[in-house]
Amino acid sequence: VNEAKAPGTSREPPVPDPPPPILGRWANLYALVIVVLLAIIALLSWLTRRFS
Amino acid sequence: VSTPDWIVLCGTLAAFVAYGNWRGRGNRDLTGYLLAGRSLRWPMVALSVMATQASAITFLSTPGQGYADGLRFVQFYFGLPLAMVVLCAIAIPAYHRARVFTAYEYLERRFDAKTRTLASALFLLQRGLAAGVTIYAPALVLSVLLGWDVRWTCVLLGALVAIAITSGGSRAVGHAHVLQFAIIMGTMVVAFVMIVRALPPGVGWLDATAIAGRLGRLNAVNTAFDPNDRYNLWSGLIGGFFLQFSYFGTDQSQVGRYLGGQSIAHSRLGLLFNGLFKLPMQFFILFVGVMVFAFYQFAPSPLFFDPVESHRMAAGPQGDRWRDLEQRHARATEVRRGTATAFVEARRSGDAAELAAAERSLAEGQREVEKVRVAALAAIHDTDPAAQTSDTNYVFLAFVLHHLPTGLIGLVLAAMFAASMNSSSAEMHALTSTTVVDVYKRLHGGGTAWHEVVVSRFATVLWCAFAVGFAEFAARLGSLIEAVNILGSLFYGTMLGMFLTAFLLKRVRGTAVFWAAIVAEAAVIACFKLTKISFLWYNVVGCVVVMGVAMVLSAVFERRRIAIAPA
Repeated sequence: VNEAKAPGTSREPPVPDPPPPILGRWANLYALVIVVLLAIIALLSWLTRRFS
Repeated sequence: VSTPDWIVLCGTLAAFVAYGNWRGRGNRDLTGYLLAGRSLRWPMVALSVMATQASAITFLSTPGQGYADGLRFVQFYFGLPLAMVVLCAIAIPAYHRARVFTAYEYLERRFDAKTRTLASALFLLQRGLAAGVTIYAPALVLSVLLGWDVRWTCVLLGALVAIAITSGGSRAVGHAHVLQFAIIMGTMVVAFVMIVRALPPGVGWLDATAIAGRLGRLNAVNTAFDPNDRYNLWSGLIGGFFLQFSYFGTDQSQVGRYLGGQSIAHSRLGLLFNGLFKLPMQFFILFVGVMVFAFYQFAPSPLFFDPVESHRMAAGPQGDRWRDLEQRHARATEVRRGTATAFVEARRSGDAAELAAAERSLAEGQREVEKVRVAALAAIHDTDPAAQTSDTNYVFLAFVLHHLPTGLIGLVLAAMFAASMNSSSAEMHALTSTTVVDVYKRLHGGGTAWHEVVVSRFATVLWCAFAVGFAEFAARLGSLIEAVNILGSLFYGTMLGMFLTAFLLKRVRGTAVFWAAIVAEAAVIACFKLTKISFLWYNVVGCVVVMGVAMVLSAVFERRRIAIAPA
């Protein structure tokens, strides 16, 4: 019964998602964050090998 | 600490409180007091989120960790950007559209009252105890180094936090976070420059980096999988993801920060900024510690960085043994200085054979110093088996007090107080929100807008008093930070499982997730008691068990409901 008033469920009318200020879609921004994470890990791996 | 340092310290602290109060004036209802009227733009959400998790002990302990253990701790944050992405995709829209004050309020709307009560009780228990340690841990370090009474240092911190929140509410916390965070990071950058400038003439930061690397302090990434190893690539990515997801998704001290965002987009951008910049920030703070380590290759370092413990040893029954160790340590550091200088000269010469020989001497010099350190720790343990033999929290401030110029010392101390206020104010504010929204309003039914704000202020003062009172008790707990980290991991996984079930498993209902949470908590406690796996993995266990058991129970309850339903 509680689920009938649950927010964010499929029974609610979808609320429009405002786009991010860059890259057009949120999925693109999320992909950018993951690419930056991979770049940081690669850089730190290089640092570890270079100086150890 | 000189008079100019005191002036800088007191002036900066007064400015923090005054600025927060000025920006937070005019709270007339609960939305204003608890959620800053949902008016914060994304830069403020981002900095407030980052400031909340950056306690004073982070800035005291992280450089010390870099000094003692190198960069490997940075792997702990590899899961953070991933957690931010998933939170932005599923949690933020759900919370914003529900227009809730607390994360636990969402659980009642999605499931039922008992599930909300269970989650808010787990939060109040875990965060209420942690709040005492958040005040006590930095107060202990500051009081030891400044010669203050730890009890009054706790009271001072608690009072500053209470004044800052009660008069300005969430908006004051958010604005003060921005100012405090800017001062903290600015101070860390200045400290880094001063460390590099304090290196001997002719020794640059690249030489210092090379020395730290040869002595194993640039070990940033370890790709070997070992569940018992606390920090490696996999525990960081997987265990770290679950821990960060739990913390940011279910802990009201963080949820309250981004619920104050003026829209879904502002909350999302704030969290993504946090995901992108937290990792480089932690790397930089660890690197400051690595530079302190490199600095001490050329300068005499204390045998033990905790001055109170050192003094106690020198004046105690093992005083002769301690003084002998200090002399051995002084000789070993003098030899180490020679080997470090020879290493830098060998780097300059470009002769491979000379460089290889210098590297061996460098490592040998460091080994000799570490041998004396091990003997010193054994002496401390022999004198008092319950004594704290880790001095990493004292490394950075000891360096600051002995090697930074007047004025800057006051600024660093102000930054440490600011960091303590950052995390404490967010904690107190979250405890207030949960107490008022999830407990008081449910039992009492609320009242006028002004009445609710007054109750919230009263709750804030009570939680500050509780934290200061518990800090007294925390003094007897032993290893505080470890205790709090493990305590958090004991509950976070279960709470995350409840929220993920709410977001993702639409068919599961309240009773199923409630009992699944009980089973998961038992499983996590069994892992803690019966296994040796790293605490980061408790979050994975709790979350997976909640979701798995909830799905099974949901199917069982559904089948039973159909079976007993009239034809």
